[in-house]
Amino acid sequence: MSQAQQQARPSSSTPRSNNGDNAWKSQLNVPAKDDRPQTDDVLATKGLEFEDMQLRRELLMGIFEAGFERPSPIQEEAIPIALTKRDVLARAKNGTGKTAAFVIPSLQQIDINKRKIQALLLVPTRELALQTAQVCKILGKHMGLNVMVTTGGTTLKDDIMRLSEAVHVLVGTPGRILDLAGKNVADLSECPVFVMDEADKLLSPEFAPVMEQLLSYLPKDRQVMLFSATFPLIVKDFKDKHMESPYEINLMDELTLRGVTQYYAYVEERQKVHCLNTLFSKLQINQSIIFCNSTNRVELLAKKVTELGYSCFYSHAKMLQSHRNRVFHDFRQGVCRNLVCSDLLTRGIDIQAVNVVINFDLPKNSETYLHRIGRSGRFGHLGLAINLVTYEDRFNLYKIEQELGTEIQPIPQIIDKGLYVAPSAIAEGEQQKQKQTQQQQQAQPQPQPQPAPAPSAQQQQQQRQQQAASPQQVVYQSTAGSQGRPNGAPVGANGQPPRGYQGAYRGGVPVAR
Amino acid sequence: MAASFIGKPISLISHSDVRYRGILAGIDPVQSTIQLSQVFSMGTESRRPPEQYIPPVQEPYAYIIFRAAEVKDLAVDEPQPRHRVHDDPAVIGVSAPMPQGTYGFPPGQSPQVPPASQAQLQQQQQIPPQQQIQGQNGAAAAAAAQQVKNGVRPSAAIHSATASMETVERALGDLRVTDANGAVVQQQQAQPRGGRRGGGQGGRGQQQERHDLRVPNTDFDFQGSNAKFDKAALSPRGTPKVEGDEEEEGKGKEKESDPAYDPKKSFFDSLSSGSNAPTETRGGGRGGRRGGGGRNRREEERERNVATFGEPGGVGLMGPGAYVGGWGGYGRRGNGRGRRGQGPAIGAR
Repeated sequence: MSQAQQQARPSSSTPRSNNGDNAWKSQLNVPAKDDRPQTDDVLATKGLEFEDMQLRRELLMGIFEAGFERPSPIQEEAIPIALTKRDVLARAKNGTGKTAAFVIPSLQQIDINKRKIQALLLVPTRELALQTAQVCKILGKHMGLNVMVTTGGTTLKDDIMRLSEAVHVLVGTPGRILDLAGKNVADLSECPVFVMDEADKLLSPEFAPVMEQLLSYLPKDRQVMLFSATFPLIVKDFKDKHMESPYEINLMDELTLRGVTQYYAYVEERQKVHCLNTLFSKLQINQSIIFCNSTNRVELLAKKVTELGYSCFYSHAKMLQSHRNRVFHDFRQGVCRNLVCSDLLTRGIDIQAVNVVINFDLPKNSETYLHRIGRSGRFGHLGLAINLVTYEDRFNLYKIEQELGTEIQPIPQIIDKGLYVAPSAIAEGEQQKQKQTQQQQQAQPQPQPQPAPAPSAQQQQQQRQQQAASPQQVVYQSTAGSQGRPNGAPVGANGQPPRGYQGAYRGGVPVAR
Repeated sequence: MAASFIGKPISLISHSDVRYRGILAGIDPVQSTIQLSQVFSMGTESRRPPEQYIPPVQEPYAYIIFRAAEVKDLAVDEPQPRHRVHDDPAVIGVSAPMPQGTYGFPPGQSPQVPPASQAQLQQQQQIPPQQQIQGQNGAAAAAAAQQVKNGVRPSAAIHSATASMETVERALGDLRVTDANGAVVQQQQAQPRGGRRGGGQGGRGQQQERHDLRVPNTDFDFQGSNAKFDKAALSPRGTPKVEGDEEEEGKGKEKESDPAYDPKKSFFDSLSSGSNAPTETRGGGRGGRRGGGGRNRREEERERNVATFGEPGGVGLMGPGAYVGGWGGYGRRGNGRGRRGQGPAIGAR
């Protein structure tokens, strides 16, 4: 970062970094450290500190209280540049801190006293919008700013009412925001910051026209920032058209994460469930995400998995938004160990406790593959990606390997726990196993949870109405409870009890070691 | 032969304008009768003026035998776009019905009524339309059928029985049956082609006959299985790709020697993705996909689902555009039905 950039800083009240006035730091409520090992994907920094970035104290407080210690490589590169208001094109691997890399400079540039939308953060999926908004709230906790999240699948009226109050940061999916802007409900005319997370997805044919229209609502001198792990050539058109000499940051020497070990298991279609069952019994899963290639298959698999006696949630695009949200929220909280889903949750979703990703169906293209396996090994941690590969998939497997320049190994008979389990959890896992064997002998079948009597069509009608009023959770129990499936205690990073991401959205990272 | 279409979902309109939906259970050319199982009477719907309205009946009949001569129209149930409540701008939110149990229908539970009739269901509490019978056994029921039918519209026998039978056969002839292997044919017969719920009624009933996907107690043999697969042979340097024609996507890329991503050369990459793959119409290609390959793709998936899960899915669980009952997300609590013969963890909370 050059000194010249400091002139562009919007805030003059920034604390000097090393001038000894550090009393505020001792007041911080910093979460416990995460002691899991990390890879160079997040550790190879130049040594810049957040305090060197001339950020406002309120923002710094939020950053530290979120458990951040030092910037990750992408944060180190992107934040100072972004603070100069220059356009940015940034490429970094999955789960290496991109979100904070654009949220921090976006928040820094906000004038709280101005009751206008001053940062527009766009993401391709609703869940990701929720997650990103949450990050904004955590990092901006002490700034007194208003963050609003808006996506499709929710009531427009609520959004309109909300926008009558002051909103400083607007996070959402393109369609809804365009809707609000087109109705003159969301005033973007003085919004200087326009961020596209998972930019390539947002510029795919389905979204691209919307993005163009959205941009027309912003002032001419806005700052455009694009972040993703994949940047296909289609992004170049957008860059040439809408960005002004963007600063390119590329931290990807290779595409795949170093911490994620990839295996394939060759199976016949009819063996997939058996294979998965064996994986469940063998692996020490902290939390897992299992991807299927269609919504039907998500449901069918979720059914099978529960029949096998494992707890799981599932989520896909055809579900009600409120249900999707609940699943997402509860899975993050560690309520359940396994999540079966479609490509809805392929991008951006950051759940630290996930250490295993299983492609029950191999994805059709390498971009999807890369994003899927990036759900494990978050923030430089270790993780496992296991692909069930059929004869039909063989060329796809080859293509994926070639394009990503990676090697997917045949799954060994025994998978070294050191490859994907936190050291502190390995010993724990052993104990759990023993305990579990004892428990199995006493185990009684559980009674079916509450709403067992299947409602008639008419009752359903009534229930539907009731539910519309107050969505309630029907089956809401997890077998994976604390008494030990083979895979150990309920989640939470590193064997700790599941922790909310309210206080520390990453559970105590980044930690430089 | 029409008999080979037994098990297909059928929509039948009688001369009384009552529509019945059920599974074709049998055709008797001698007696000129058509037998449907799992039949729902949909009532007259909008085919009769309001004063002659006959409401639908909620409970399905196990069997109804129809005189072919009294059948006005007959069609193989094709998937039709479901009415989606979300399409109504007045609706701001909707909750799916509670799941029954958690998934699907417990055995013996009456199948869900096709969506088209759901609105009507609310109002009906009344006696079944007069001209149906609930046959316990074939012969008696057939006899009864004639009496009942005659009562309603004696003058309606304009169509000859043979003509009606032709209608039946023609309608059935439209069906395409996949002959890939026996199992699939059976599945196909038990299920409607496009995942329509109405047909699922029949499918449900026969679910026990589906191939039951057993998960062996033994561990999956990863090494043995992987030994059957020679990944190295996939590379162009290995075996020339003889079967290349099977995998469209595989072909194009294999010829490229440039890596898809080289940060030294370009910021951008050429990874295959949903939006750049010609064969993958995911991004933006919605319309086209519906039109052309949609059905085949769906059928392929159903076949694959049967192979993987022992059932095709998509019926009852989720029709097109339907929401899954209740909470998506929550699987049923494993309660000892794990096939590994072990109880699950004790006391989920």
